[in-house]
Amino acid sequence: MNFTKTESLPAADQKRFNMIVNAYERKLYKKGLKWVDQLIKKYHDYADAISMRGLIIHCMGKKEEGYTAAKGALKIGLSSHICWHVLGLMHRSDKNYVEAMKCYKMALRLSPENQQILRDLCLLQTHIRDLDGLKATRHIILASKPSQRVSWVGLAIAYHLLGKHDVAVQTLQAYEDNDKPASTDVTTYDRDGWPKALDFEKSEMLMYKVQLLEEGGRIPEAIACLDKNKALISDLRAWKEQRGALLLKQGNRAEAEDIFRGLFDENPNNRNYLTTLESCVDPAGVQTGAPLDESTELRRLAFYDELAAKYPRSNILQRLQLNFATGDRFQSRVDAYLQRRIRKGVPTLFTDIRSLYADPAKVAVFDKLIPAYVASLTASQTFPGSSAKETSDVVLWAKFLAAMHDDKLGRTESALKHLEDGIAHTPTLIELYTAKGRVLKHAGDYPAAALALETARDLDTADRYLNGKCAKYQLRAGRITDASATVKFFLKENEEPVEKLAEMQCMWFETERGKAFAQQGDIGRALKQFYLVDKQYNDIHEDQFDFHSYCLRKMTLRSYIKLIRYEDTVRGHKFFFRAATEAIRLYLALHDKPLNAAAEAVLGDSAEDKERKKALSKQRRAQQKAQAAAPTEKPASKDASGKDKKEDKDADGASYLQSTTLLEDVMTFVRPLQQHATQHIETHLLAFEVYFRKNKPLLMLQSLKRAQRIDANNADLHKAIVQFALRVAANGATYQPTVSTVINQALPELLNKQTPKQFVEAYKPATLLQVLRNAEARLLVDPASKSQAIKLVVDAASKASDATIETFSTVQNALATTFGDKASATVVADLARKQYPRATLWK
Amino acid sequence: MTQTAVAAASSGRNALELGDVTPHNVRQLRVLNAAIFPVAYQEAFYQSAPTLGEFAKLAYFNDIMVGAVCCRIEPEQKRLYIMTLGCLAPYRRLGLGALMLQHVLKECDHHLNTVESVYLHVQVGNEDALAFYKKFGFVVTETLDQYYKRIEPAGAHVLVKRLC
Repeated sequence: MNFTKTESLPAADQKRFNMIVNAYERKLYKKGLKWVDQLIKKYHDYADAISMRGLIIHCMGKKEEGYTAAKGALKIGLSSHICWHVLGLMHRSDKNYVEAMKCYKMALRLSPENQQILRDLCLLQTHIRDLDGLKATRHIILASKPSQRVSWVGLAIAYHLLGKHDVAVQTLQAYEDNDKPASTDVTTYDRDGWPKALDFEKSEMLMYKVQLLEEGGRIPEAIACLDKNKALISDLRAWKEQRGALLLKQGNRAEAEDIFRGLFDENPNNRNYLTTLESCVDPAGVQTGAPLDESTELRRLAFYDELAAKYPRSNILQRLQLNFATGDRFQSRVDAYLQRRIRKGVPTLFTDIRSLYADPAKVAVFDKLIPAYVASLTASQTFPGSSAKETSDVVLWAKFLAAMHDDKLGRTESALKHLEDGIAHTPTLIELYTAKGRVLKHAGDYPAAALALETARDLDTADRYLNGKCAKYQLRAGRITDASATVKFFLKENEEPVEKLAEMQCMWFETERGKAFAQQGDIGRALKQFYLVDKQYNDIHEDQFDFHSYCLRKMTLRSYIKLIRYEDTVRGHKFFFRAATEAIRLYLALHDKPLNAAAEAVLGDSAEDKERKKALSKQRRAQQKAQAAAPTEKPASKDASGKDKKEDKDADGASYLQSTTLLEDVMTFVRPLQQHATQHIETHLLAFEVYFRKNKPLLMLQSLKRAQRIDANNADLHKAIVQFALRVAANGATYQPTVSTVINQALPELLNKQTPKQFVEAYKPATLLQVLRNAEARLLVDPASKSQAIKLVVDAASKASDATIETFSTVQNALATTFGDKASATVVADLARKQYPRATLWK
Repeated sequence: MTQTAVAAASSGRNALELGDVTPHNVRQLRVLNAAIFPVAYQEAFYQSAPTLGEFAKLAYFNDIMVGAVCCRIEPEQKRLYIMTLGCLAPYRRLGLGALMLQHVLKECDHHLNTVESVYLHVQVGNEDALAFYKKFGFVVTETLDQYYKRIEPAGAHVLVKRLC
């Protein structure tokens, strides 16, 4: 018998085929495989079954075999939508979205109304944000299944993501109008005033509609919708928050105030309620930028005092006023704030107040109060001016705070003294040892810091936080093997630390490990770590796939939209930023000083060699393309599920180093930053560095302009602008006319309409790093000014009282390499050693 | 000053609590004993400490570990020996010693078949400790001249409390 399509089978076997599909969907692969093998035995050339078999074994980990089977099946059943659909699913699960899309569309051409294929297509289109395509597919689904709620909601979501709020609202409205409730929905309330037996899904849909109206700017309608449907909303707090926010947006401050007073009463520690309440009461006061004029400050403090009388235990009330109070008013309030928390023994007190250290006037107050606490508590066990005896532990917390305070102000020795005193007083308080580690770390003594953390960890080996911190400090001290042994404390016996932590998406570990490898010059292994972080973000992005169907089914629409928006910018997270900037720096260094310099040197700059290089890189690119197309893994990625674990062939990351396309590879890290971390000036400065080496004038210009918008005085930007101007002067003639026009228009703006030389001379450097970059730029425009430039840098270094260890190290290296002046580098190292006597860097 | 007197004079809180000795926190016990006692205890002492159950306890003041008690049952003589009971200097006279001792005595009530008396050593000259134990009904039964090997004075009182 020769059947190729399911439709032409006898009914019993058709049923059997459906059972196989069902088994696949429920992940009962073994059962599915058994059945499908039986079916194939009966019908040898049954394409759909062969294809299904491929899909199942693909899911079981035999990817290659799966593809071979599915493609083989297509040869027999080219006109079977099932075969195409199956191949699409396989490509989809291997994240090969382009191929998956082609397959789905082919399948749909053969079976245009197939709901399953349409649904899968929708998921994929949402996932890759093909929003126009999604809209079209949703319309098809709605046309064929208008009775299902999901069809309407799905279409509304598509319009929402496209920014067409009005159409989205209309779509929901149309569904609501058709979906007349069977009986009038009258909600009954329970004793606490909460609605009983609510239709949660209906409630969510209404709240979603309100969100659409709000985002579409239709505030009055949004409020009306809330008011009309209050009885149907199950999340009453969200209803109140939303209504309050809308009323405020509408300018109805009085009503909004009532709502937020009520909400703050429900939770007097909610920062958002408090700040919104204040914007209802005193919008002018909230919007005034710091520093406030006195009358505004008094008015705002009166508002806080009034509330504080009613909510004496509200932490956020006490804390937020410290942000804008000044002078004596600040001092009396912060005094009470600190005393209360020292008495209570709050270990996070310093972290809580650290942001106030941005204001020198406030620092002065801290510098007066905190040492006085320590002195008074040590002498008489009381706070200054009080006769109330405190318990014995209070002085300890005062010393703890004093140590953090001194550390923040760079007084390492005084900070350590406080902590040693504390340890002598109560040697069992673990926080004292972690604080000691932190102070030593800030002082640049990483080995001693790690030892302090080891002591802390030993005092409580059941504390995962301490153990993690200990591993981190060990990595900072370059003890990579020890750190792996440390994290193993919290793993099962046979678990491999590095693998297991990757599985747990423990990104700080990967980043710190990468930095430790980089520190040791092991660029390959370092890059490998940063690629692991990148892979975590791929996984996080991929994880959203399940939610595309789940959230629509469960009607958690507001959270779903939040998720989609979050996923769109997930690589803007600081964890990715940290790893990516480190990786880019390594790539730049690698490009400037290739490890395989020897191989490069063989190929000179002659025309013939250039051709050969080109040919090589072309070959390489072709190879990479082929690799990308095939469902193989990149060197860094491991099968997270661990189904078919392979030996890591690239343990030392050599493949990254051997790449001939470093400046292409680095874009893996540059591009996401440019999209999602635009607020960081480093993003654009690093992008410039890459484009500078790739010789892309327009992209260089773009990066510089973006950086200039963030901070025109930035030290690195200053030098980069000069580099760019000189590059244009040297190569400008070779640019295409259109490129030249753009650059000639924009360059004077970057240079403040000055020549590069004037630009360099007009720059007013304030920090040591600015002096250095300015001197480097000076050297570029006028090589003869070298000795003068060096003098400027050394002078600045001798006066830099607040320069960091990192800055000193940068300056020292620049003097030794860029300026080629070993003697002055030594002078700076001596200065640094004086300022940071404990730093191991200069020992 | 009694515990209540301190609480009344102080504006802070005064949370006294007992906790278990575990293999995870036994290092804290070691650090604590080193700070309190002139004698260094053997490794075996710390290895057994987490196995002593209710007869080894840590004392916490406002969530900070500041004291500890460790005892062992001597079944042959049907008695309990208090090996160590101590509290960091700044946290004395707050009631932690009483809390630990009362806990131990109460535990003995559950072991009346095996424990008929409690005893311990106090270094000669430690009047505070002597007064403390006497308050709880301990009496000096003998005084040993050369009990301690490396510290002065080397003498020790033996204090005993009969439970039944």
